[in-house]
Amino acid sequence: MRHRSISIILTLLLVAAACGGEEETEPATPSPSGATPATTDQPDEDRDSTTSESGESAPPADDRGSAEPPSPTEPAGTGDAPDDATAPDDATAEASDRSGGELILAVEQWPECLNPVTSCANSTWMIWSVATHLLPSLMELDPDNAYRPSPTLLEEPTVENGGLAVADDGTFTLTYRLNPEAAWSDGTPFTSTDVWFTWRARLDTEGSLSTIGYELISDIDASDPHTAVVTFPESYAPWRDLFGFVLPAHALGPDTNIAGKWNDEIPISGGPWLQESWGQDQHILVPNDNYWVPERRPLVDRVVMVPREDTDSEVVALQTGEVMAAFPQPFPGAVQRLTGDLEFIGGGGTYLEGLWINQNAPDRRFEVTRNIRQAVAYSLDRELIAAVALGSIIEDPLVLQCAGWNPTVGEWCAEDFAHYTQDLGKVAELLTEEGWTRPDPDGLWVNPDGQELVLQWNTVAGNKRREDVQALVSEMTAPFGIGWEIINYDPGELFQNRLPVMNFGPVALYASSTSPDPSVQSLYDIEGIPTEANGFTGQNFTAYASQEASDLAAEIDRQVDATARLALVHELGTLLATDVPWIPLYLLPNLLVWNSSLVEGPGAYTFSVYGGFKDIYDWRVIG
Amino acid sequence: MIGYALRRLAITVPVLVVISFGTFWAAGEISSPTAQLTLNPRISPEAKQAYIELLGLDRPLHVQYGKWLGNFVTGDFGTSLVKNGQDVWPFVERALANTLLLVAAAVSLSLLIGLAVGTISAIRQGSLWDYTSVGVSFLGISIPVFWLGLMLQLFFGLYLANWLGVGPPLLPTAGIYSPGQQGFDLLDRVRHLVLPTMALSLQLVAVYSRYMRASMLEVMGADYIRTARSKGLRERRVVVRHGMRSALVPVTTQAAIDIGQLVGGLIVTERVFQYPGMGVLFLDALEGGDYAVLLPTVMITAVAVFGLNLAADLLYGVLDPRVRLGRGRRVAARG
Repeated sequence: MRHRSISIILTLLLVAAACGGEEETEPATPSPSGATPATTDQPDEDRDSTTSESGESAPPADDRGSAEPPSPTEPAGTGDAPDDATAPDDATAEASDRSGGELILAVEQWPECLNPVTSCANSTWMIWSVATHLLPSLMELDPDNAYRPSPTLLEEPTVENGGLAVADDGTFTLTYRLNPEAAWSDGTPFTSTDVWFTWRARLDTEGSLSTIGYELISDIDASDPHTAVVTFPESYAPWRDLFGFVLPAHALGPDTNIAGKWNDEIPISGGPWLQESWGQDQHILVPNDNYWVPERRPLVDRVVMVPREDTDSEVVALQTGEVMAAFPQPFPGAVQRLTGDLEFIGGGGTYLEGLWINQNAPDRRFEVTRNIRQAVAYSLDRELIAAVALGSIIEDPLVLQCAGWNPTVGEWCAEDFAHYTQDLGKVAELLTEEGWTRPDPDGLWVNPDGQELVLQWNTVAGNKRREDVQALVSEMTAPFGIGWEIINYDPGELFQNRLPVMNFGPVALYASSTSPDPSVQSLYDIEGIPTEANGFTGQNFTAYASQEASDLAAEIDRQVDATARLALVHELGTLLATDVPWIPLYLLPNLLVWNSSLVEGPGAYTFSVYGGFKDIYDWRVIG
Repeated sequence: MIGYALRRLAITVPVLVVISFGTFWAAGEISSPTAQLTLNPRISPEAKQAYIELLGLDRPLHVQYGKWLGNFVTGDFGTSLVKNGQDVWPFVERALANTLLLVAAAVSLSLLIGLAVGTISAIRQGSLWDYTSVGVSFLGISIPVFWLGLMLQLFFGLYLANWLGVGPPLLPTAGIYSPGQQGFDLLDRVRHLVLPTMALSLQLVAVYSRYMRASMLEVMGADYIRTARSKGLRERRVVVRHGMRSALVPVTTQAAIDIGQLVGGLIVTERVFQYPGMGVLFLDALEGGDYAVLLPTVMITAVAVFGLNLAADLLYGVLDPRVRLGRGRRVAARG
């Protein structure tokens, strides 16, 4: 009798648990279309970046441009689908090229939700595992993180083809010529109405994560379905960073506030894949046979992504073949552990780690002046720090020499900070200049008020790499008379509760990613220093209050000419290296691992901001 | 018995209230309920105010607590701002069901093995079996779960398959279903339970066998056992019917307490095996500052611990004829 009762209870529990799982894996309504990846200066608490997405205080939505849909154009869903978009013959022909099989990938941080406009997009993995495969962009990044027109465009807007124009009154017009073959997965044409809708959704959605750049747009003319004319009141140089994903107006509209939508599914695709289902246990993609780009049609029949949040378990799953590829955070001992059939590419990366110095830190005992900041920079052996932090992961880790917002592609990153090497004489000179003394030659510097030169330093508790760096630096700067008070917090506390309200530091160690073509003004704008008065909006998280830097940053954002812009970037870099609002350390490498006995093709996008899975349409399952 | 249960409840409820208030206060300190609102300038003041009024955050702490407790007790767990306004309950429900299943499997298996091992050890005290089982028990108690989990994953997922020359791993190392599986599949679900259950059971088996051994040794020396033997009862009947029944009491109550603690305490096991239960839900909520999920997760754990402690006490009375709950004084007076 007792045994029977236990059996019944066990069975009921099993069924209850199973029912929960079944609900999660219920396939979503298969429908078309997609969207492409957004650029990522999204914060990610484990890769950890700053909350760089949110920011500027923006005027009310009604002031930012017409909230009425463009009248001359019918909603895209009512238009005729281009022949190619639904051409069954083409699709069948492509499908025959498919090698088949099921690709199983490990996802290290499972997104909480999928809405690409709201806080759901705060997860880098939402971009890497979901948005980049489904949502189309206008401009896109190639594997080297250089911008190029995506398949939704016929050409890149340039001055020569009339795509970029500055009127006499300073008005800046950006004209996107859309590919008439582009279509959503349900056959609805991809039109300028979608561009207009995306703009409005970024601005009108309650809790929109970022409106950077979008709030500067004064209007988008969508009267021609195949041409989107975007107007700015003045030049906007980082325009390539806009429309990192475009939303289907016919599926999400007409209300441009999409706050409650697409929490657990993206039913329309404009990318190579369709979402079959998404739940807490797995994410399944199948080929979008209506995708209009033949060379990007998937080779496998299905992709299954599963959460593997523990690095050790992730490696075991790779070794056992339960997952075929992973894009893990770089971990100590990677070189030694990834052996046998496991192949990997490590290096590059888009996350820059360094010391961010908060000049408005509430706990500072004395003003952390420019001289002090420079003295700290002169007390560090950054080559050694990089070697200790990353030596067991990759060979020759890259020491950063440019300011924290600089993309590490192209010519943006110069050698601005290269002169900061350990120099006891410089430290003494800088501190003595401000009245600091060192009564004990082996002790700490002391200011005229008797305070020792000890700086509070925060980072993520339990992050071994960073805690190792803290231990090393503490030892390293002691001979220079600089001490540290280390107080670390869990990621939620540091990145959600402290950093956005400037309650950290004055020194914090974390990583930040940046767009390959960022908007600079928001980062150094004096008005962009988060304060209680402005509701802690803004992205100037070092509270670096330099009018010269603020003006230069604004000028960089307005300068459309690439050469002139680069000159300004380097001018700003020189200024930042003098004022030292941050001290660059190293570039966090990306790591793409795959089981070479099970899959072939990975690697091209290892260093991409889209993540290593961007090109899974080109991967093949072996056997 | 009913009187005793009511008296225990009368003590338990105020303790739970105190704990829930402490949890409510602490969760608010760790993770502000409005963090997601205040950090995002694009959430309108009206929406912020509506949310504040919904939670009663503009009112004193005790009023906020009362409002939250009322909602919690009635099953309204609210919505999570971190999850973009999704209801919290489905997440908790799923995690709770998964954890209960794992706990039930592990405790059942552990009781089965632990009782048998402990009983045999006691009957054969001083034998090789006894020494071996005691040694293995100490080993089981000493091995950290995260290491054991990883070893099990490597052994069953990789090495064994390699030695046997078979392709896929003999047992899945993570998750609750095979990738790509949709819908309910009993066999697949059970296969995914095996390794986390083993990892969890090793320590429990060690603990239960030690308890059972000690308890049996005490019981088997008691007068009534001697009486039973002197009446000519078969040894098997003496051990099973008279010895084990009494010896079971402390083990059973320990198991009930364990279940309560395990409901919220499987963080390591669940993380290693990527098992989506309450421990992982709690950890994610804590790391992500998800106040709305953190609160019910902690509270359900607290309720489980107290509820099962109460159940353990009541079970004690049912299993041990010497204990008559609620009539202890009268029994003592007679004695």
